[in-house]
Amino acid sequence: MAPKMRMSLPAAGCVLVILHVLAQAPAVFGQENPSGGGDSLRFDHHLDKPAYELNLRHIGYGRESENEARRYFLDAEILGSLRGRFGDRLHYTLAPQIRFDNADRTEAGFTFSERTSTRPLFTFKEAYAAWYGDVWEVTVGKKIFSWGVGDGFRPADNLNPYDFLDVIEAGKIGIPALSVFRYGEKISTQLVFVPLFIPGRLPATDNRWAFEDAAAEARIHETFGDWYTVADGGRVLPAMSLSEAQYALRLNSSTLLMGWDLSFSYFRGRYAYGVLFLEDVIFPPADPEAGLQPPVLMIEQVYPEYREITAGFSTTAGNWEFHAGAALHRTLDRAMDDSFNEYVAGINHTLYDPGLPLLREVIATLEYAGIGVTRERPADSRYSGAGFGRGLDNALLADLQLTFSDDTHLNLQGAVNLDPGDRYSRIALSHRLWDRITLEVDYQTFAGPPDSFFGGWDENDRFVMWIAGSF
Amino acid sequence: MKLSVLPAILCLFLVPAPLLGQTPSGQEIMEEIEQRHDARSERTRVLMQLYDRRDRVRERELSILLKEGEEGINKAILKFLSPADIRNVGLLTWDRESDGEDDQWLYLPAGESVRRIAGGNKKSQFMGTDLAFEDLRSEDLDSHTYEVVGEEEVDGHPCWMIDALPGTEKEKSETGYGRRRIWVRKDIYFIIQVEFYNHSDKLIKTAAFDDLEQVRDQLWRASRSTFVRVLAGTRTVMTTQSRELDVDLPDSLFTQQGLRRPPGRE
Repeated sequence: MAPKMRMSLPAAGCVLVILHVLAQAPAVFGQENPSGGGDSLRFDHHLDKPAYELNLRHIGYGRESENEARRYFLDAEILGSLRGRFGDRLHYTLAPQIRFDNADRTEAGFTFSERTSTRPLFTFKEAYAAWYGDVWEVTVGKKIFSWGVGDGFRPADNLNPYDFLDVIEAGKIGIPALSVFRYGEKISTQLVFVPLFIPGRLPATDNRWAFEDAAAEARIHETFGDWYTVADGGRVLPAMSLSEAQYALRLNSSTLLMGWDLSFSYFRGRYAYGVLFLEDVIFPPADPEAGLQPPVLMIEQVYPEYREITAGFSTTAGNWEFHAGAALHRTLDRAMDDSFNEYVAGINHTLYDPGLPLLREVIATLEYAGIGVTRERPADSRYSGAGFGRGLDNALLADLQLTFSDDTHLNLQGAVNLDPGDRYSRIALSHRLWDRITLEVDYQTFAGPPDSFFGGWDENDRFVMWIAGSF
Repeated sequence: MKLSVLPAILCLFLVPAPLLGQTPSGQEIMEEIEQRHDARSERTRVLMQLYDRRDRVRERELSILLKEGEEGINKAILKFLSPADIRNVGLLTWDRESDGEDDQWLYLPAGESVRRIAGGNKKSQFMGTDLAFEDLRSEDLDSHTYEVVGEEEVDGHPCWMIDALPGTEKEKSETGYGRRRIWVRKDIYFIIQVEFYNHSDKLIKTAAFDDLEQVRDQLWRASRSTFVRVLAGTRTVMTTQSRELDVDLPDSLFTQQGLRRPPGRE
């Protein structure tokens, strides 16, 4: 018997929108192109000059860590940019990415959809085709999106997961997606369909950035005391099917209220960083010599479904920029994870020619980020953890960018969770050595109680030297 | 009055004062410039050469799209095409005529996001060039006063010299210039030279516009602009590589989403 194909309502809505756009395609393709070049369909191919980035990073940690004795790391990345178009409207973008390091963060091979827990040696950071009309815009392929307001914290920016194998140098992972954007004079709309769930990449237990979720540990300790071992049951990733697909809708406007950017979004998908599930407890047989063996806790990583509604705004007055956003996160299965609200509010000020010698420009940003749990996971739930994605709670984030010249910049950054006071700071000086080569030196520190978000990494104070070349 | 004379007399009242040989006011000259040289929209590709004080040069390629707004918002989008480290960096500006305010957004591909930036940054230098953000905007006739202070010949062309001063408190507080002296060619009503003075009336910058091209009728464009920062000893030369006027540019290009698009046929 052939399997029935189930289609959820949002999926059906997406398919209808796509069919509607495609049905209009002949008429739209036949429209005058933006250059005013007439009605004819133009498919002459043009390839932009390819560009490449080379990033070399040397990292030196001040101390060994419990998880990882290694203190010196080298990593390298080559990122290409190939852009072409057929005529005026049909474009494509390819961003091949090659990464390697001496710390087993990457694995040889090629992966397009990055569902692996290590980085592939070769992938495409982005690879998509795009069709640009006067009003409609459609992209399909692996893409990175950026939604919402905020500098250090963006609650609405949840389409793409992050690669947290190096928490501070975290970058977004591209997702396979179909996006349909419609420009409106007052309100523009974007619908994104993501057929395959891509999880965030978290540090493994032998990585000095491994996050020890204190709440999860406390729960296990409550039940089992100190006498247990943990077995990694792996990740349970959703299959690729319409019922497991993720959807997002965004409405935004810069003209409803002149001088204000307003945005609203809805997301339906899975939490990219997962929670821990106690799948089984195995009691090994007693060892004739060693005696009783501790129970083995088989722990899996699972990805709870949730819905999220967000809203945000940004506006300026004089040299000041103000922004704020909020996200209402509702976990569908309350046993799996909390439901919570996230919010950010920030200001940004630019000072030009501040009157200090050598200093040309100063940009200062200050943000407050918070989380409020609206529905807690039950205390007896077999699920635990999820603290990784919620590290900033009642937190202040600050960023100061000082420009001395076109070539020389100093950046001071910091974040502090006001309670319990764990914090992170960074000072980075960059200088352009030659036309295409920039050198940056960074010093980063972490402090706080050992069971706090930043304090758990207090062994990771480090010095980073980064050479970036653009060609 | 004989009928044959009446039409001639009527024509005298209809012909603009400059054509009658009277010296027009500064305001009239600037309005005439706007009327003659404004285009509904424009698509330009520019090569920008930045010379430091030791005459070392860095080159940048830019795409510029301009559109006169139908709802009183003039829109402009600038995108860098090269070099590689700033490729696709874009700046979107909406110049609101109704309240004199500007909206600006900056797209930095490295950050993968578009952010609104404070409009009070007129005096700041644009992306390390010798141009301030305010130099990239069209002349705001309502915010300035213009006075003809003399005449001078530049490269064999008789010119009016006009002093432009900030005319509102808002403009005085936001602009980096206490005064600009503008040279306008009398024959074609085109600005060919500007001197920029700070609020202490010290000369800080000069601009020269040459390689003039008559695009159509009375509409002219300069193919080369040179901005020199006098104290810093640096200069920026902008050379037009291609230009199209009155092209159909959809409003969707001049949006945050449009900023993210890779450069197309610019």
